[in-house]
Amino acid sequence: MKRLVLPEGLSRYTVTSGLDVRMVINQNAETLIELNAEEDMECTWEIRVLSGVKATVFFLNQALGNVVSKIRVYAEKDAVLKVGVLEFGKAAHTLNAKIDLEGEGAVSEFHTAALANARLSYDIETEHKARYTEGYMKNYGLVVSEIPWTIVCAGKINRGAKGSKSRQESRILTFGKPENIKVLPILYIDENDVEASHANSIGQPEAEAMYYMESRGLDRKEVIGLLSAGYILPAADLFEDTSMSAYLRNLIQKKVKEWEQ
Amino acid sequence: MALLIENLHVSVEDKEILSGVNLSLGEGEVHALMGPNGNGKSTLLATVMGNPNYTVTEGSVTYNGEDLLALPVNERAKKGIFLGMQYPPAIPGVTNSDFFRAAIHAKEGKPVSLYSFIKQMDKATKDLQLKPDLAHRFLNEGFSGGEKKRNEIVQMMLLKPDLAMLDEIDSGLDVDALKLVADAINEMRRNNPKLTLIVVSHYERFLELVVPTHTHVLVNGKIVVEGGPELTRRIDEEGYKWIEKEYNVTLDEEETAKAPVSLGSCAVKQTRG
Ligand SMILES: Nc1ncnc2c1ncn2[C@@H]1O[C@H](COP(=O)(O)OP(=O)(O)OP(=O)(O)O)[C@@H](O)[C@H]1O
Ligand SMILES: [Mg+2]
Repeated sequence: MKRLVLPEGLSRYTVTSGLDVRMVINQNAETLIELNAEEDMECTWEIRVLSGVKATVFFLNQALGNVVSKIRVYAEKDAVLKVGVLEFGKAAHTLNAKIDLEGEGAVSEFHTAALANARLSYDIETEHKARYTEGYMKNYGLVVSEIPWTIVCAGKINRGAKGSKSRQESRILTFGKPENIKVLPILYIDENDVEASHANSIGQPEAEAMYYMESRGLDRKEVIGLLSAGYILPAADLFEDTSMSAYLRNLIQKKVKEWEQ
Repeated sequence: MALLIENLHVSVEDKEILSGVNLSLGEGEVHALMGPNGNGKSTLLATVMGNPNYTVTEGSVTYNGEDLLALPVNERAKKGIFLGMQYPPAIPGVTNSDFFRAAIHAKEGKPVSLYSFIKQMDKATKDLQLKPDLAHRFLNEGFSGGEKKRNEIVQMMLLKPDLAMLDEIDSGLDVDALKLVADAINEMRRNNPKLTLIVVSHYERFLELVVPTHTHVLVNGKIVVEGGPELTRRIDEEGYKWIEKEYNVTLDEEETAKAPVSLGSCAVKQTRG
């Protein structure tokens, strides 16, 4: 097991083979972790965000091989953690994430965005163990062909975690059959005084929207490109560091353009 | 002729909406298209634009001598055709500015510089007195009725079409906005003498500001009356009832509310022109 203490501010790492990492975040930090393996790999990430700390951990998957990721997060009192997963991989990604909001006032956002070229399989759970915790799970993306994508997304609010909020949203645009995309939202709530919601929209681009945009000169691919940028770009805003957001935004635009060709 | 429509028949889901429309528009002309609700005005414009919901079963549409019906929607736009829609859809996730830049790029065949884009956008939003944050909002999302219509005119200003079809662009606009929109349209006409317009409107007020050279009345999928600006005035004053008598056509009852008179079983008769 590798121990990693994130430096203050922005940092960047590359992963080219399987790892088992334990990360402690004890000061405000943002990190970009690039998954760049050429062969299959399995990585385990244990992330502890200490009390009052604000952090972003962002996985950029551009791997050529299959990736299995296991992410375990613990957020202490008043910690704010954003986890991003941006998928530009060429092979399958199996993602298993569990976020524990342990301390009062802890907030997490787990945000995935994909320009999916290969099978994606997600199992994400946020568990509210303390009062006034907030857990957000968002899955956005574009599926360019007949690729299966399954998302099991669970919010669990334990007894005593009053005043907590659990929200999940999945918005996926597909070129293939909508039935390839399976989203299963789950809510377990064992406390009365809470807010919980989920919203899913999965489907092909609306004919009316396509026609409107085409009537202004764009071809079908350009329309899809613009629409998908709208789905994927918000992930870039998980960083407060503006140079990193700009870098990701450019990368997203470039990937969408490549796909349009 | 800039646009020539001959014997156009159009169906939606096997129901015939247009039943032999003939229309010819010369370069630089302004044609008002009027008619009671549900008689096919929007259908005609949508068919010229290429909306896939509408099937042409007979007839032709040529633009500058070219068969328009053979072209996909976006190619028609690139030829300089623009449709300001009656109900522009909202498209969450795509910002106005990203969309406009992509559209200009497509139309002109090369990317527009950020500087030039901002300059044009500034002018358009100022001319139409739209809020400056408009560029960064999602396309038509949460726009008021009047803002959507003005946003259509912004796009017309940016795309500089040679044939613009404006479908009830005046509905939902307040009196001041109506004037702004009309001014913007008239300025575009001055800047581009080739600009040909088809304006669908129910209101004389707008057609006093954007004065038509020709007026057509579409009833039951056919153009039954043609004339000049005096025709729009008469419709404004008297409605459509008189057309039944003078032109021997039958309007559906709901269209003439006050006129339960039926002229019997004879359907629409072809008019002059
Ligand atoms: N996509 C569609 N599906 C079914 N019916 C349609 C469709 N589009 C138009 N129609 C029908 O065709 C007829 C003509 O509609 P259209 O929208 O062209 O009328 P209009 O003259 O523009 O009316 P308005 O003045 O109310 O805008 C109507 O009866 C309408 O219900
Ligand atoms: Mg209409």
